[in-house]
Amino acid sequence: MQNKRDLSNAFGKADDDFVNTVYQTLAAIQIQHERKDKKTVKKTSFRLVAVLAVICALLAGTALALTNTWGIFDFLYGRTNDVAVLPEAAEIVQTTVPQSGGQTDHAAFSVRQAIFDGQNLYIVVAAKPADSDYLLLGPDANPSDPIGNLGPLFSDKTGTIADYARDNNKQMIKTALAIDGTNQSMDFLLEEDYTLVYMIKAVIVDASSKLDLEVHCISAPFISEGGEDVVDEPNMKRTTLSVAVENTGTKETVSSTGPVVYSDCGVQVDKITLTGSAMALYAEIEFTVIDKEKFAETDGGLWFEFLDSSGARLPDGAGSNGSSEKIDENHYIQKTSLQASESLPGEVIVRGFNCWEKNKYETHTIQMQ
Amino acid sequence: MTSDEFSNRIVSMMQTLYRVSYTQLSQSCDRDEAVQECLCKAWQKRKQLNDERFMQTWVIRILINECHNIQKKRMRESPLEELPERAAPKDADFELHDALLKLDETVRLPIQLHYMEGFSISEIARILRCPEGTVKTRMLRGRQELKNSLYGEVQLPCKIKEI
Repeated sequence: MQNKRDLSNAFGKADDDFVNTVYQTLAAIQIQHERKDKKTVKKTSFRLVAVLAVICALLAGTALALTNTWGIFDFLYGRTNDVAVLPEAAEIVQTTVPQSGGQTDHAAFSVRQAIFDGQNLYIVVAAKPADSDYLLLGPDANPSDPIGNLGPLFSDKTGTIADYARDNNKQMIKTALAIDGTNQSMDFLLEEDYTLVYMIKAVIVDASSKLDLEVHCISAPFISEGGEDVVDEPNMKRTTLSVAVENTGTKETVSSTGPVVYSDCGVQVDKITLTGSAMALYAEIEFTVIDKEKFAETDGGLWFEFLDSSGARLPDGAGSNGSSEKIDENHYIQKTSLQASESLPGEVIVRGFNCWEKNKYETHTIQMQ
Repeated sequence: MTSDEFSNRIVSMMQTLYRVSYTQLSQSCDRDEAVQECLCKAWQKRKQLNDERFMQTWVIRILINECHNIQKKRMRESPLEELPERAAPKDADFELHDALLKLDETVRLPIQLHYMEGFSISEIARILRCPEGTVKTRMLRGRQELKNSLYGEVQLPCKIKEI
């Protein structure tokens, strides 16, 4: 006969990755609390998840082709399906970024490239190992993961990261980066010289001409404990990389001309705002719940998507992955990005859909001005 | 609440946080992301928590929201049929693992929160933001489905009355 204790074992115990993540997050919280930073607390999502469409050939292979190092567009092309940015995006890449700090016992962190358009930050940070024996890993890479996860240069290799480290006499070092007060996504890979390169995208809406950032950098060696590789928390090293990035600004903004009711999901779209930049078209959809019962039936799965004239969903842009925030009891704002466009549309076709059940709600054509 | 107190409370909830995220997210990296977001938000909004006795239900609610956010992202990226099935962790009860994951999330979460985590019906209602009657109904359905799935071999501790 099973009892309550048996049930609690249905999913096993928290794995090392999970435990490490909790401890690292708590450590970051404590550090920032000690600094009494008003903004406090990092928020990191460990995946670059935007699905991007259509490659802009003008920008192809900029840094990678010339120097065999990864830059912003290399990540956008090489690590995602499609991307569409405007040709002038190449002109707003900052390759000489004022910066200071960023050195730990294990690695030197530095900003290689950055773009900030007042809506999104795109930044590539290189972490060079302080010792040729070090094998730097990103925040969600673990010794038991396949070695191919470390990047394209390792894709044809077999075995785990731990196997590779052992076979090549490398000591594994965990690293992590975070920018205060931002909702960010992250990707990373190892280059040929074992430089670990991060690509971070963060939603930062700021009209200032210059953005001062503090990138918090963490490194810690793995040690063997009970036959397993675990992060050596007491020897975790922390530093801050202070960076100043220019705001190249957005181009134009258009807004919807009036509210539109989506009665079958119980909401009214109050306003849609599209803001264009060379990198993406940033969209904000503000909506109000007008029928609580119908809205409750969506079970929190309501999402709005932009369609083309044939009814096909428009691809996401290079910017934010998309988020839906609750403003108050009845008001929400969905933020997302679409592919960059030379001009802003005079109308948009917007459909509500339920991301749980995949069922579609109404579609409306909405005038913009 | 100091950061030390916050950390201690969170560490004591480690296994619960893991199980709640596990039941909703199949990928390890997603669970890591969810718990990190959850902890950051909980710390940022800690002053909104009027009574620290309710910290556990409050943190679990935030974690469930974060899991839902990640589910939404993943569902936008890939159709349901492309999501990989997951194997039980090596230290898990395989039979229970598979039986629980067969349940719809709407019935699995109340079952899990009650029988695994020890939350009361009213606490679960607060966490899931639904009436207590709904929680009871879902638990009844979940128990029946679980028993069917396990061919009646499991007798769950009967902490609530049959409806």
